[in-house]
Amino acid sequence: MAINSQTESWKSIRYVFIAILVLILTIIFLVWRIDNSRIERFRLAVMNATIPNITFLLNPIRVAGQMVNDFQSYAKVYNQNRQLKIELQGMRGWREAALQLEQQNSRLRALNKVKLSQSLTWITGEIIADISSPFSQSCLINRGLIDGVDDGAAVVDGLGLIGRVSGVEKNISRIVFASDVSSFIPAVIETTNQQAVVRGDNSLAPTLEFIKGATEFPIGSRVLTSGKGGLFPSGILIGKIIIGPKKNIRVQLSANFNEVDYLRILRFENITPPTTPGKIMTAPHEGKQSKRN
Amino acid sequence: MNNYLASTMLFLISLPLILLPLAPISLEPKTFGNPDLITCLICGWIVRRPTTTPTSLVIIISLIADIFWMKPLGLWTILLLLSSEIIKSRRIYTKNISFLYEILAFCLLYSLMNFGLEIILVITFTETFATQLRFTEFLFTILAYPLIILFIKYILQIKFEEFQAYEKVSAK
Repeated sequence: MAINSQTESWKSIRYVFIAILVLILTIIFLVWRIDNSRIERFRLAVMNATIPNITFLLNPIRVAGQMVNDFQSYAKVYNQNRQLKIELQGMRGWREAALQLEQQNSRLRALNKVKLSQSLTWITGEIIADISSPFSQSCLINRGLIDGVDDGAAVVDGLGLIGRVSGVEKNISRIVFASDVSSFIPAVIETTNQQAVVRGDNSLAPTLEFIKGATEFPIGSRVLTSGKGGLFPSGILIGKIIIGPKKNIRVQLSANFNEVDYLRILRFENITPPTTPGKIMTAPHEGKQSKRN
Repeated sequence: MNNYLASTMLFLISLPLILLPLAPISLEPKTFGNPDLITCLICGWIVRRPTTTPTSLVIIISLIADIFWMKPLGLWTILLLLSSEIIKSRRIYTKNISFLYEILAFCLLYSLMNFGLEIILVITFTETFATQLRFTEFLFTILAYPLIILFIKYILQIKFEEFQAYEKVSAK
């Protein structure tokens, strides 16, 4: 009997203890919901301290995954070869056109005495972790503040835009893809010069919205960043226009998301990080950056 | 098995389960979610060791998973803490539970957890998307649970623990 009453009181103490824990966790969740950028910065700081040290653990899996990918592409090699031959035919014509244009261009440049802008440089980094979840599409790259990564900078691979930097720590930075639902990129349609916004929707073909002007679109024409908003330099290739399954206008991203190892973070002198609510999160060096600009 | 040793083992096994899914293979938007192995591991562990699994350890492991898996911080931890308490309070009934019943009970509990998650996400206006991703995550987690308990039972050799007799008496 004595034992029983003791366990009863111990049980009620335990319930109070659990209730307090749930309350603390609820407060943590609410802080995450309300002051998101601070918590995300904390999260990135934890990752900065751990993930660069455990890449040895992740590399075997990465290599195995790449081998599977390679094997799948070997299976498709015959069809690819045929397609490549057809494409090569087309490319020969383009090569001739490009050579002629280059000559013309250099002639005009010599006439104009054009000096090319030196403001656009880049940093190359390697992807060290894939942290995509049902809540965001992003990855970590092994370049951070000490390499001079700016928060909000555009990220490209060899072919086109991948996304933007969102959150920089000392050794790592987080890259949010153009396919993420929080990604809105000011864009311009090359042939018609219409302004629009490329809005991520968790697929490789984000939707094209807020298109200015005419309602007819040149399907297949290229979409570039417009440089509006001051975050991205203008003229980075995003993709080409396609018609989605539900007859909506989409942009097929040019960047090859399947075989990305190394990314380039563009260093653009005129980055002005947004400062209003809903701003992307900024590392502790926020103050310095805004002074420099 | 010694309690400290078992707790250390749980912690050490959970770390690779959290970190290995981060390996970058392809950056394409995923169509299939990863199974939530941490939930499987913790639930399967608590069913076997209800009185000797420290609550703090469950919270720490779950918070680490929340941090690295880019989940809303603390939300899944609350649900996991509550469901671990439910399992602990039903320990008389889950002792030596058969394989099939354990899986069915986990399905029920995990569905309830996801239902709770959904409600909280709606109440707090948290952006939810990728329905297919989350549904496959749910499905794969349930499929992974039998594998995890086989792993706990046969490879880690974690047996159902013995409670003291008065607990059984008081439950009756």
